Amino acid sequence: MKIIESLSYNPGKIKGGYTDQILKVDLGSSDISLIKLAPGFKEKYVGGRGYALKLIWDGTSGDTRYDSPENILVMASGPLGNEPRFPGSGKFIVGTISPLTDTFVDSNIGGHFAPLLKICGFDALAISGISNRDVVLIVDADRGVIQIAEAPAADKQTDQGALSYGDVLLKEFSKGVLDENIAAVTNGIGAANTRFGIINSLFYDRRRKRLRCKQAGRGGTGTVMRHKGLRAVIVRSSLSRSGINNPVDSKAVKQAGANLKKVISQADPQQLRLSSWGTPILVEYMNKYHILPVQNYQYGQHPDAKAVFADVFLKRYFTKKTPDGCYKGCNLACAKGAENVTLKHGPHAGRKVGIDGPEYETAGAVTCMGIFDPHFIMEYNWYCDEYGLDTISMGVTASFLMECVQRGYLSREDIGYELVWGNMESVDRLVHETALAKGFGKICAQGVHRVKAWVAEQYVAKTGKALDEVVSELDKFAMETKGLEFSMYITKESLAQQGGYGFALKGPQHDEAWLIFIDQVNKELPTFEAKAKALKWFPLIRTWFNAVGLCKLPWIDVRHPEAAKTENPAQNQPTLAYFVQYLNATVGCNKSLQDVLDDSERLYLLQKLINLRHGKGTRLSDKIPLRAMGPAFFNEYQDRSDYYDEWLADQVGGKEVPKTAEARHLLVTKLREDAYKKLCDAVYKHKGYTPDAIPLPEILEKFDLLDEQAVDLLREFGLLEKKRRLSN
Amino acid sequence: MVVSMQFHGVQRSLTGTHEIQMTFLKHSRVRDLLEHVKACYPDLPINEDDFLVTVNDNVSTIDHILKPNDKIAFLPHIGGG
Repeated sequence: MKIIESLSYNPGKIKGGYTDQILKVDLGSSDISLIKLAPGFKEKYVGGRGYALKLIWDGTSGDTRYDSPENILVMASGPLGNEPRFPGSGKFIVGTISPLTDTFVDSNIGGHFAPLLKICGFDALAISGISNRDVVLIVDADRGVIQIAEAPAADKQTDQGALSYGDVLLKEFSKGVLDENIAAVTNGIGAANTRFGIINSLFYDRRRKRLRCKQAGRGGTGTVMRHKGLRAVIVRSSLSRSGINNPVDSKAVKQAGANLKKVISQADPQQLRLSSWGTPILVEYMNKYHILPVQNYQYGQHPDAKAVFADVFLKRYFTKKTPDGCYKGCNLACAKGAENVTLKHGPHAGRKVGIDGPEYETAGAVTCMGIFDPHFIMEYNWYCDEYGLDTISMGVTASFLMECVQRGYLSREDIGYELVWGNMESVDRLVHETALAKGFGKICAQGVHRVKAWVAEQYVAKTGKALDEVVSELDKFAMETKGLEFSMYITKESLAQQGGYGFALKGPQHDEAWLIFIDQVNKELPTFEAKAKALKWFPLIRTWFNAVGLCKLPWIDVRHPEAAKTENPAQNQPTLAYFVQYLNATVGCNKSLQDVLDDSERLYLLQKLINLRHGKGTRLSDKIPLRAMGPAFFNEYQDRSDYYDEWLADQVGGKEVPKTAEARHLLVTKLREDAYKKLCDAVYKHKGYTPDAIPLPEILEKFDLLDEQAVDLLREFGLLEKKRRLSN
Repeated sequence: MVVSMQFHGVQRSLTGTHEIQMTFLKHSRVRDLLEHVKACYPDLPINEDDFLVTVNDNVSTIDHILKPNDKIAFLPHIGGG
């Protein structure tokens, strides 16, 4: 590789989980700098998402967009990342200004990259600027060097693939010998051509003897990386991972990890069995409870859904009896994969490939397009990974287009072929066209929010109808909020999850709050107050996981046997106690769970401030499509009329319900909209916001967030006068 | 009276069926059904601490008194990804 810039360095040691150093790279000037973090930085911003938020809050402005040179792409683990004695410690966060939402987005991702980055001496990597040519960043602790190199050329097909290119690149870098001491993040041609490009985290699996991948899927982080001209980041260190975090109390770390591993090994086989079935197990339960997003979230169930239940993937595809953790020491090991799958479609048809996945989100995205074919799901999974596309945003955008055809907003002539539910050939074509910026794929590549505007313009031009009216109709089934496509759950029957999506700061992704089961099935949140409390508590604890470098699944999807005896079983606090113990033992503090939640609240509010700065922080930005609240169209009402009629009777409290089904449908949707408004009121009040969803100055002051920028921002929203009165 | 026990996920895979029907005496409880299922399928992992009891898709308890045609399921706790 041709080296453009090189810096020799001595990899610092990790102490108490931190290196206290970040690596900054400006690709515009090829400047590489090692930045020592100020005392107190880690106490205030924790790590992971917290570091990304602070760097972006300070280093960008409200005018920064995804393609601005000053936009920063941050990759950061956290103090608890990289500890093989504790499950799920390979996670890191990629944070940036999103091409979909135009505000902060982050996506968590597993693998060996972040642990190796930390061993190389860095708590975070912050990349700004735009290179005038494609480059690769190398962080090599073994040689003590950080380099920016010209991205090596490859043949056209390899060059387009995040997986293929990564494989060639890493083999070239390591002189043909791959091992666990090398990892990389890469992107593919889809990241260059769409707004929902992903970052792939590649790591060597010595059992499967090939590179595997995990994805930072949401929000277009790969698009940002690619726009900066950065094809890949390679990290290497041959130091042993064990004990290298230098925890303050190693014995207590070991004990906390052993406790959690014991719960996982005993409870998971009795519960979801993620360790052998992976996350596709959820598809069956989603179908049972009408939350599988069939045909763009119109219907929650489908008779063909059983063809894509987890046991099908287990029997036909997944490699069995192979521990599949995405990082060392995780005995939940849910990252399932398959070997030697022969592709039937697309430019790689006939090729045998290893496939990492599918996760349930990918299966859900395919059912969203009305397809229930397991092999198609495997291929869709592989091609999206190879091109570097988010399977969720790709599927939801394609589904929106299909529904536009269903409802007459688009025709075959507009698209060039039949894009209808369940048509695998047309979906396959659209995926390739989207990734490669061909034909109608150029439209799809923009994501639902922008496609909606395009469809409206086309339709108005054809029909002469009023733009406002057309947009209003499209808004009902365009499944996006803040510009991000919904992840794969139907929320029509869970008001709490409507809030879980609507209030999610990055947009409707379930990793901020997943409340469907405790609300819809368990009925544990019967009041607005209970829902509001859950919509504060869960986002805060989930934020913490994204700050410290840990996976949430060992906590949230394996219920501790003692949890049933606690006040809030869904919070699974007996397991959380192990996490707090691990934190205290690693960094040398004595925090309680409430302290952890308080740390998270600071980060959550900082993200809220960034959203306000970028025009995505007020009540208006928490608006969700009608379909997320209830049956947007009559066919959806008819499909679940028994449920809706019962709900309506309960709501009107003995008064007569309308006689016609059409009138009942209208009343249901009106009451659902009213309920969501009431939920907004309750949640904003509980979080210490104004009715327009703006944090009150005293809340920001409590968390020491009222810097000059925040004060200016509050002044814009008319809250500064209030603060002055309070101060007086 | 006849009631149905529904199996999903791992339970469905291990039992090889989505649903079985069983006959119980009046005033029998979900607890009785659970014991019966455990006897029929000794390898089936159903520990009452690990599962949520539903009767006709509504959350219930192990002490619920069964009624004719009730559909019972033991669901794992799902917290989302």
